[in-house]
Amino acid sequence: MTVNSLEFLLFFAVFFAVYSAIPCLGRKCGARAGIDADADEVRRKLQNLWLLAGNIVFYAFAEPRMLPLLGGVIVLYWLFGLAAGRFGGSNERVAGLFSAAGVVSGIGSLLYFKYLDFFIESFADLLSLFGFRPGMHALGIVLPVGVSFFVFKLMSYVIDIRRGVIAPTRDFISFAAYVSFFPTMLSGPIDRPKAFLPQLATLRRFSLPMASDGCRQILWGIVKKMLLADNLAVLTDACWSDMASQSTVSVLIAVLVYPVQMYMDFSGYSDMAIGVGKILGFRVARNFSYPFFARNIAEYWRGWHISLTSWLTDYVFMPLNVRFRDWGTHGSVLAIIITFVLIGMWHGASWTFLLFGLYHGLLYVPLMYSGAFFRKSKLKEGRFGLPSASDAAKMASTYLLVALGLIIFRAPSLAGVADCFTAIFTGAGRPPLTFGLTGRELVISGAALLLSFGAVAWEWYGRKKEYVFAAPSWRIFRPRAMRIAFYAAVFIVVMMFATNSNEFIYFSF
Amino acid sequence: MEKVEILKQLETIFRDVLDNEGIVLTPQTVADDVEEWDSLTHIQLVVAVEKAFGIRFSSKEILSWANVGDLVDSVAAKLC
Repeated sequence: MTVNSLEFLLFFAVFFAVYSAIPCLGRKCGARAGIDADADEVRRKLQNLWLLAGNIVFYAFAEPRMLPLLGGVIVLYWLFGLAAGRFGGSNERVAGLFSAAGVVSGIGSLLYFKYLDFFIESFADLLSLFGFRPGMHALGIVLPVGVSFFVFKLMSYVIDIRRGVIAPTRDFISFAAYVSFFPTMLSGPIDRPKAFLPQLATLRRFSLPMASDGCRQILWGIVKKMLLADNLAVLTDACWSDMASQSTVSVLIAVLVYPVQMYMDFSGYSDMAIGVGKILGFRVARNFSYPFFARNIAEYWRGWHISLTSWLTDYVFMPLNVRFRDWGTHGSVLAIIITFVLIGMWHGASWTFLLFGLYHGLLYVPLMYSGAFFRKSKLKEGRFGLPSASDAAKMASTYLLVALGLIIFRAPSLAGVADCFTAIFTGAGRPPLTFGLTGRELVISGAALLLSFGAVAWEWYGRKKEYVFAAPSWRIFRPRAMRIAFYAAVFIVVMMFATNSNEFIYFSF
Repeated sequence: MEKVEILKQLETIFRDVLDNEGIVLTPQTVADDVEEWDSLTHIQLVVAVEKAFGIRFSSKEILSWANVGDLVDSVAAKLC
């Protein structure tokens, strides 16, 4: 059940009707005077309980068999947190053991669900190189939906308690509602307990400005995902599914388009999740901050999948960097490379993801040793508010490096990476630019590409905002009815040109 | 050494390492308040502070600081 599906709309309509009515239970809705704190506390608990029920229904739609597992780990980590908090200050060793148990179980469950089959297959391949046929087979382990996201939330909870950043919560319902929060369950953003748990500690009353902001952000996410990303995917999928018969120009176009497609897909989903959160009264973590305006790879990662990279910065990079600090720049470079290999491997168990991470880690090496990393300068605007020529050149070269890295990411295997480069260098004689698509498909993907450029240009001028989408500020759109009509028209256009795809790239992680 | 003096000395170290003479530190200052202070320059600051005061922090200490005030407290605790 994805956020942009009809089932979700039905589920959400029922869920939201009750959720937003809870703060009004037992009093006139909107009445502020004489608020009874005890009654509000009851309403808050009821609202969190209802949220948890919604989370369970949502997860059951996606993966009913894994519900007991999800429930089990939530109880386990809640107890780890309480135990770490109970012994913190009095018996540091025992407190440390409980938080370490949380970290080890988190890493253990990721290793089991995401990587065990990969290790078995790789080990069998290695043995067969030496002529052994050990008869080892992958176990066919089913990956629980959202495991990469909720395990990271659980681990940060026990680590933050240990670091003294947060206190453990006694409120089990709030904790369970946080970990299984349905808008972000399938594909993030990964909310941190420090920012999210306090939001569950107060009753959430419906706020029209926040909800309409959320609706606008959802619509923008739908535009990015269903109008732009899915139609660009028609083109890149066609190329990748039959790489050997593509011309050089077609492959280059597919490679250069893929970062935009990926951005529209994943940031589009993040916008929908954040928007749904806003309707429910939550501030969900930001996940993207205009990565295509980055002038080097470090700036790019500060704006791409922020909730994952900041998680790994805090819990992997920083401890490593602290430990390696006597080695100066070499220590930092080593910590960066290890962190990026893990970022790559987070996406899944394959050599391509490992290589993808290593590639990005290595891109930091020249930045670090030349000192360019530490020379920060603000983006300068030239004529018409456009970036200066030197900034634009740096942005273009960063984009190229990202596109090259995404060849490794997109390829089904290491051999697939080689196939892509072979097609680039040998495809000169093949008929160009048709991708094996029909004329209509070509026109629509071409239009989606032009619109994507338009969207990125719009983002340039609105890059100080959280997201850019809003009805134009012209006089005609001043009345609310006209703005609603504008958004309805956008929605209708998206539906007219939406493909049947309901796959999000990041659901497979 | 008084905490006020430690803060003053930290300010000099921060200005020097981050190459920004405009930095003014208070106990409430956090990394987000200083543009050049990120996860990488953080470690350069830690090394410079350790060198200047002739002290050594534990990993747990470094990772538990929430603001400059916590850093001042850690330095003060090591000096007394």
